[in-house]
Amino acid sequence: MDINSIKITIKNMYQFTNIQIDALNKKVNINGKNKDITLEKIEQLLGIIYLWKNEYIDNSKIDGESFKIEVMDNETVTTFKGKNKFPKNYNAFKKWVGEL
Amino acid sequence: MKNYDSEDTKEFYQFLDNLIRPREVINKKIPEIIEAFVDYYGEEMREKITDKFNNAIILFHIMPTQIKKCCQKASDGFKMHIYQKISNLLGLEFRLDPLFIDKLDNVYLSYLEKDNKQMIQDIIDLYDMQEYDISEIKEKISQINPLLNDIDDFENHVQKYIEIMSIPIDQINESYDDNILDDLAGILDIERKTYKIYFYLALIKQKDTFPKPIKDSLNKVKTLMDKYDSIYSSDFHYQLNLLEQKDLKIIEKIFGDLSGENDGLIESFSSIATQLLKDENTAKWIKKQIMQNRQEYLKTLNINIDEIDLQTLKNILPKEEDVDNLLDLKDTALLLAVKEIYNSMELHVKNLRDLKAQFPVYDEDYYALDGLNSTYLGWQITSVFKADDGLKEKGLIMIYQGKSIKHLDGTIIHELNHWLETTVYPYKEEDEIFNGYCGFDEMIGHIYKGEEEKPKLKHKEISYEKFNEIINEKITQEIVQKMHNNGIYIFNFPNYSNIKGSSDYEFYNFLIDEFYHEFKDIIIKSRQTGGVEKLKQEIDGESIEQLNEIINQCSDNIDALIDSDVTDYNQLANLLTEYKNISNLLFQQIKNKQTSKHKVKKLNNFN
Ligand SMILES: [Zn+2]
Repeated sequence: MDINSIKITIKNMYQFTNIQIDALNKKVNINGKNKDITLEKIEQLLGIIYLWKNEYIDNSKIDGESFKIEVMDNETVTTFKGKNKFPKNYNAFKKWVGEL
Repeated sequence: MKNYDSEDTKEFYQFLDNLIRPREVINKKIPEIIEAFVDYYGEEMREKITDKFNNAIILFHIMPTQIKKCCQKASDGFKMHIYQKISNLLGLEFRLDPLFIDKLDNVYLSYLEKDNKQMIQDIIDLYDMQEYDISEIKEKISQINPLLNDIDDFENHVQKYIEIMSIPIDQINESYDDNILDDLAGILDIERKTYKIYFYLALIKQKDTFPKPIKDSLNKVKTLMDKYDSIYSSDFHYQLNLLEQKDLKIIEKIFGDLSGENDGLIESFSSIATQLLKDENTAKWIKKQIMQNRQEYLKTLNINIDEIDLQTLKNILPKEEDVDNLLDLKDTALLLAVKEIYNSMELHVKNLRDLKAQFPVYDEDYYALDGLNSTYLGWQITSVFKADDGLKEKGLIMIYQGKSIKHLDGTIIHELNHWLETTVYPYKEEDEIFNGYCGFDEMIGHIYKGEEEKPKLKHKEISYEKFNEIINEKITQEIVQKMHNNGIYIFNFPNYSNIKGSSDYEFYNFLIDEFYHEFKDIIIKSRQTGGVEKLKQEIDGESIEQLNEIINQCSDNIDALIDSDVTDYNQLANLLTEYKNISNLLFQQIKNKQTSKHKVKKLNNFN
């Protein structure tokens, strides 16, 4: 796998989700709880987000939901973030998070 | 009986009535809400408050699951209330122990089954005695029956609300027989099915442009569709599912999960993908993913690159503009599906009608997308729209209460206060972007004209969002408290109007408490007249920036901990103390600077 780690945060008025994936050791930490994660599951995420734009922001809306994903490989950090505006398949991403 | 949400059933019926027509209720309460805000902000703000709230449209929707939950809780409570009365009548001490409640349940069940003989037996069992006077028990039953009848009435009433909230989608429901709109999953399920059909229809129209294996599969779908009068029939969906599992795997791989969740391999040939490949700054893993998907595409179609020449390959590979078109079709299919569903739901039809009356530019597509996001996520938003008369902007508040409904008043007041604190700077007719602020947060957006291409917006680098929200929630709670002190509850039911605990924001009160109380007047005024820039002028700007930085840092570090399943309380306590100390120091610094500023002012005045 070319990825070292992935950091994900999702925030809304009621919930804060913080996910840190250590791709090298196949571990994931979800809001403080450690679990194992398969490479397949990580690849699934990459398959969902690979065509996302780096930024989706609608600052004409207050409250709502925001997200940030940082994918780290040996050379770069690729960041995808958004607030009250979402990629088309955002729901696939939320579903992926829900099934962690 | 204070424990039960059904303390007085009449009140609860009223509450349920209110919950299923929330917009009417809120609109009717606006004059009282205005009074609460005037009471809080002062008489001089009356005109602004009245004007703002008269120019707001509030869409409030409570998820049916929430209604069900509260009905369930209420009916359990009500039952206990009646059971208690029955125990008194029988001269028994009411106990909440399960065995005793079980026996009472048996009495109720016998009543429901109209089995008098069994009911006598159940009452004897309840008394737990050997000898009894049958005529005395029969006499008691005649007194118990009307009480049990009350439970019956109550449950019927509750059932009525559950049914109203679960309004099946009229036309679609007839055929999607077992899908009722009782929760989010239900809505999404219908949405996906409808979307799938629209997407298949779009693909079928274009089928001749696809390679043979895809064309063949689409022909199979078409043949199946032709057999049915209605593509909503559940039998059609059953057959389609079978077909999908057997023959349509290729469609799913190429075009994505037709339920609208996953991308298809073909998307790796889109112009976006090609651009990413060309861009030298694109991360390796993205390029690899695109290439992998392209290879997988060829493999899926049984194309071996080694066996064909370049020209043939070029002809086989999907063309960029065709793929882009296809992606547009996918979006259109999703919109069509959502619109079809919304159009069959009275709630959404009414919402859209009212919205259009207020903002003629606001169209069905926009509503569908906004509604779609809100329904998926179950959140609330306040946004600003330019009214058609071009004179004034209007506020649109959308609340989809999908989580707890224990803080109804706070949720509404929180958003209304955001709207009150929203100022949009004047713009010209031809402008495409508006700027402004909402309390301490920036507000920037496109002036909605229904067009596709929108210019990129420039956002401020430092966010005051959290700072803004913490103060907004603080003000909200103070206003709600005032409202409740005056006996005003928007939905007329105190049990669902808790003030504290509606969001994570109030957790950070400790960072701003002293600051807020010391400078409350300045804070509140600047939120209405210039936002954070005004605050920076009134109170030392550098310190405000520092405070904001602390809030952002603290929430970054602590948000994760407070929602964590395995909180390390020592770590949390240490962090809290640390931030509390920093914010205290900062507060002292602000206070000192403010005092010396005053001294300078006084000196200046003196000179
Ligand atoms: Zn807010």
